Amino acid sequence: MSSATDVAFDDALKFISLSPPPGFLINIGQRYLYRRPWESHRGLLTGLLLNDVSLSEQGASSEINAKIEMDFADSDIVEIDGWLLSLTEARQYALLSLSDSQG
Amino acid sequence: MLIDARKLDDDSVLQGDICIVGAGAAGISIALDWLHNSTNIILLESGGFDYSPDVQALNDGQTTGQKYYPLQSSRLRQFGGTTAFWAGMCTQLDEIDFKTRDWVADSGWAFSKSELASFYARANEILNIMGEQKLHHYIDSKYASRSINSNKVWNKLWQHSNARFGRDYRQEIVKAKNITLVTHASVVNIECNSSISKVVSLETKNHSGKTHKVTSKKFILAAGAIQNARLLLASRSQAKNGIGNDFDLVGRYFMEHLEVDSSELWLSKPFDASLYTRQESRLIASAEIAIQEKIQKQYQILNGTVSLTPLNYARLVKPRIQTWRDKDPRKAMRTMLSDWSAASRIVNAKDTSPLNAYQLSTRLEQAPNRNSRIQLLNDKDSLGLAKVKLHWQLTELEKKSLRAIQMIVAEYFGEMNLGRVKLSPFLTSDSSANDFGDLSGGWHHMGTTKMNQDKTKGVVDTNCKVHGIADLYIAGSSCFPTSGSANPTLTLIALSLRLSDHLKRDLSV
Ligand SMILES: Cc1cc2nc3c(=O)[nH]c(=O)nc-3n(C[C@H](O)[C@H](O)[C@H](O)COP(=O)(O)OP(=O)(O)OC[C@H]3O[C@@H](n4cnc5c(N)ncnc54)[C@H](O)[C@@H]3O)c2cc1C
Repeated sequence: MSSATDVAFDDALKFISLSPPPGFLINIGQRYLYRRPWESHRGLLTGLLLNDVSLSEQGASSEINAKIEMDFADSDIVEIDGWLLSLTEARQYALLSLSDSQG
Repeated sequence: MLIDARKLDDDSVLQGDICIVGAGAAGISIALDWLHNSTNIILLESGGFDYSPDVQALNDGQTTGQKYYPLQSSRLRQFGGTTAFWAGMCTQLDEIDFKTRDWVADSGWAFSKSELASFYARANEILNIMGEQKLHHYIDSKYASRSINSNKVWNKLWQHSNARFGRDYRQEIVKAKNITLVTHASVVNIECNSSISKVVSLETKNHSGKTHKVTSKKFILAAGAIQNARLLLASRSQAKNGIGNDFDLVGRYFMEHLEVDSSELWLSKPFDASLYTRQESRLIASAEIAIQEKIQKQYQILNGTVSLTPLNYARLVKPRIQTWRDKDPRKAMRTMLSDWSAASRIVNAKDTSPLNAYQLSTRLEQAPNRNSRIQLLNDKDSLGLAKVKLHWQLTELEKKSLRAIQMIVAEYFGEMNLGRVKLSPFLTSDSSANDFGDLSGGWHHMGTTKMNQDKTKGVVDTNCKVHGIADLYIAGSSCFPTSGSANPTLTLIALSLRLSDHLKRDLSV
């Protein structure tokens, strides 16, 4: 069974148009953490992302998507390199970037 | 009837019931409203029926502040006025545009939008465009998806008028028995009685060296927002600050529409953008993404709308403020259009599939601002009238509004899981407050003789009469207290027709 963190990674990779290369997402994630260094912990980010999300793989994916849509509805937006992203998706990329830097 | 003032005897005096200065969209609309009755209308036009470099040069002036087009090429001096090369995009102002908004200083009209409803209907006929209901039917039948509508954004519909007033209304005006069109009659002075409470006559000049006078019961300045203010300011032999300027308001509050590439939309799902892109030739109608009134209030922002252009094309097109640099309007237009065609050629020649992305361009209201203004220069034009300087000044509210509008649109596309928005560099959080990127204006001049019932706050009253002067009126967008984000011509015609009705009541016609 995948871990909660893996589910978040998978979902992160479903980012928007033209399937941006993971490097792009990792860069966005790094920029997010540069602004919010206190979130630079895998455990913390996973917790923030999966708070209130069921842990089955399918459930997590669609619930995270719903969370992203809800962020936009609630104006929970972060600006990174000019991109206007939902807080949840920015945290996904942050998590991706942490995992990347940890090998 | 038609008179070429160059052929009139020097020092002649013309006499009418109503004298209209300027045969552009506003002046011709009013004249048409008086066709076939016994009122004697004199329509004074600075130019002739064709473009003339000498006459066009009368528009010359300086600009400071936010970069602007050369004044000489931003308006046309000929019968038909600037409609000879306008783009014809029409839409009404929104209800919020008439309201007093506590976050927009000096906002609020003296009446609500409903006051203009019947005049908008008459203006539609002059501009040969559909009424609102028909327009909605047309859009529904032609565009299957009109999906943009939420608690944050809505579809604002536009129509594209093909009206060219010089071409379309020349015969009607010239043939009318009660209308005397006087071409090559540039008004250079407004002469008042000694108490400056009434106009005695207007003085006109032309390049044949002749001077004429016009007397009338009522006078209407309809020369465009820059020239209306210029004429009042320059008529200073009796009032040292100019006519109607006891409270130092004439020329102030100049407003334009900010038009700028503000962000990119990258789509993750198919989205039919055809209604928003204006890519068709012979386009009749289109839409822009508008911001709901309660959201404008919540964010405390100005009104604005967003249009979409395929990004692969938009990236090849230069901002208009860069291409429209020539003082000769024909050359400025040519340079801009050839930039657009070059971009189209490249896009059409490329074998690659288009990007699934759009340039988002925002059209924004400018906040009323005392320091954004027209002033006289010492330098004079070839007829001896002082030239003007435009100081176009924007504020942080425009910047904040541009940014917020991108956020709101990003929220819509994110919430619908359709795509993501990337801000233009001048709008990112670390950009400076007065960086407006390659912002262009819409060539829309407004606000320089603004309307307010209180003479200390406006140049004209709610009937567009100049405060303190019994028989002097102003027609056009110079009377707008706020600009909204809608292009002005439809509304300025509606407002001119409202003035025309007022005069009919006043003269018991
Ligand atoms: C490139 C371009 C595109 C545009 N596109 C749009 C658009 O899509 N939609 C829209 O709503 N608006 C558009 N506009 C603006 C539109 O053209 C104006 O809002 C409209 O023409 C204003 O009407 P008006 O009658 O007030 O002024 P004008 O049409 O400029 O007419 C003023 C008339 O007064 C005459 N005049 C000036 N001074 C004197 C004087 N001293 N004595 C006698 N006569 C004088 C001039 O010769 C002229 O004929 C555009 C403008 C430009 C330049």
